[in-house]
Amino acid sequence: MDRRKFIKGAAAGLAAIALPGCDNEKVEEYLQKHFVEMNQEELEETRERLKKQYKEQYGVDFKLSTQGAIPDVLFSYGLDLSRCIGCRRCVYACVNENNQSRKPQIQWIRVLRMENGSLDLEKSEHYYEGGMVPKEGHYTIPIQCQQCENPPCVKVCPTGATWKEPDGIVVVDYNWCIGCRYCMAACPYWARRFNFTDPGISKDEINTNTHYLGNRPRMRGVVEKCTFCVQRTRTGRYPACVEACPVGARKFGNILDPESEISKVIETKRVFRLKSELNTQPKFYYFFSI
Amino acid sequence: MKYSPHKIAGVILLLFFCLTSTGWASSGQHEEEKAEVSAEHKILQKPKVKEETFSVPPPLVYQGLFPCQACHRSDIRGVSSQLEKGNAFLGKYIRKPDPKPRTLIKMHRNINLKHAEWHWCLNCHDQDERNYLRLITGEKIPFEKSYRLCGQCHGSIYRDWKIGIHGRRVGNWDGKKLYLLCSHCHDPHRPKFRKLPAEGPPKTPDYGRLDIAGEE
Repeated sequence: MDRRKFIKGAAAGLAAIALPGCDNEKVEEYLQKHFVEMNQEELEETRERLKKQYKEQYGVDFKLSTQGAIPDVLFSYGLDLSRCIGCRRCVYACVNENNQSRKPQIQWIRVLRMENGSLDLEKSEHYYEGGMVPKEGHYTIPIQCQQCENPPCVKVCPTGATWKEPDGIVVVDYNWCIGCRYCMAACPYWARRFNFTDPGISKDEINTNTHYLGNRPRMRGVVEKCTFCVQRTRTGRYPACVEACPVGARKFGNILDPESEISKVIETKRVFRLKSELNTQPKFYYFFSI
Repeated sequence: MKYSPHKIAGVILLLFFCLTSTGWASSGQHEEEKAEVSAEHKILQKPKVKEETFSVPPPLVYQGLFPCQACHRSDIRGVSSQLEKGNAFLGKYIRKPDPKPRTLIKMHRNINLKHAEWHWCLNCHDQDERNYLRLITGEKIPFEKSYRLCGQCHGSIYRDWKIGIHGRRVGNWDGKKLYLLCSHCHDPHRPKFRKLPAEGPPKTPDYGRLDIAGEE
């Protein structure tokens, strides 16, 4: 037997062994197109396949939306730092709404406690204990994905698994992400989280109202982050963190609408953005109202 | 002594201002005399600005205490006619309104008033018609419009609230702006928010090691 025949035989043999082991769904998942290239039919197929998969995995029926961006909408967020007391209710509301892993713990929003008079994020406390808030002499800044207009994470993604949608939200397609975590290195705001293992979430804690690009259950080895609750905001509702804040420190809306509250905040308050020298153009506007 | 043209011009201007300012002051006094001053209500001249209205949910009222005029009875015109008639039954429970600031002993002892150091009840509640609140001008406003009362002192907050950027936003971002009254979130008698217990901190990173992740 010469070398050519051996290689041909080996290839054929391998194919013969590998293919019967794959079921149809795995093949479909492997051959899935990029989200933005899929036509309506392919989107439907993907949706059905994923719903079936989640039903098997978690035992509940899911609602998986692939709704696109509403035209003439650019979302923006405002955060009143004089009102924020650092109670972290936004963090846990986000965890519940967006199906984040409980074990190991993943939280998309990180609340930083800083001393009065300093705006140096490198000197902030991430892990301050509970207790009665607000604590004298300190203030708190919650940060989450700033949905930058010029996002460094999108620039560095080698596969194009993360991109910026027309309504301003930077999204991740979990089926396309290879888990290299280059975006995590690029993000200056510590916004992205990685699933080192299979997410630990029980079926009682799960939120079944999901969006393909948002809060659908993730798998091991993909990066996730705040998506401005795309399953809620594209239907007109506020993100979960805005509704959970007990003191009304969070403002959200469409910056292209001059009557929206975020436009009014930007017009009337002295807003600033974090790390603006990096030219990421974030959509998160912080201000002190008193 | 020769007067320079500048000095003369200065003196003329001074005289001009003196005459015109007295003219303005006197005209103002005339207007005040012409204003309607009702002896009972003492409303000064109403502002000329058109009042903005906001649709708000009904105000929260203390259970069993509203309408106030069930006990603080008065005639439509204001002064309590029951007392003047010498009604013994009501006279037992109703005293003449006492405008002296004091701590209440007989009734409303459960209302702990801690709103600016100098406030007392009748600064905001109208003395004669207790179902209403009163503005500093003496104008009576219903509880549904209590934002006008709060807006008297808290003007910058009132301005923010009117354009929809104060407080918790309810409803939808693309829907009609829904407003809540001030008293839906702030207790008007004790408005300072109490401290809240913060939720727990994030777990320090364990990088996916389940043996550490399991520990609390």
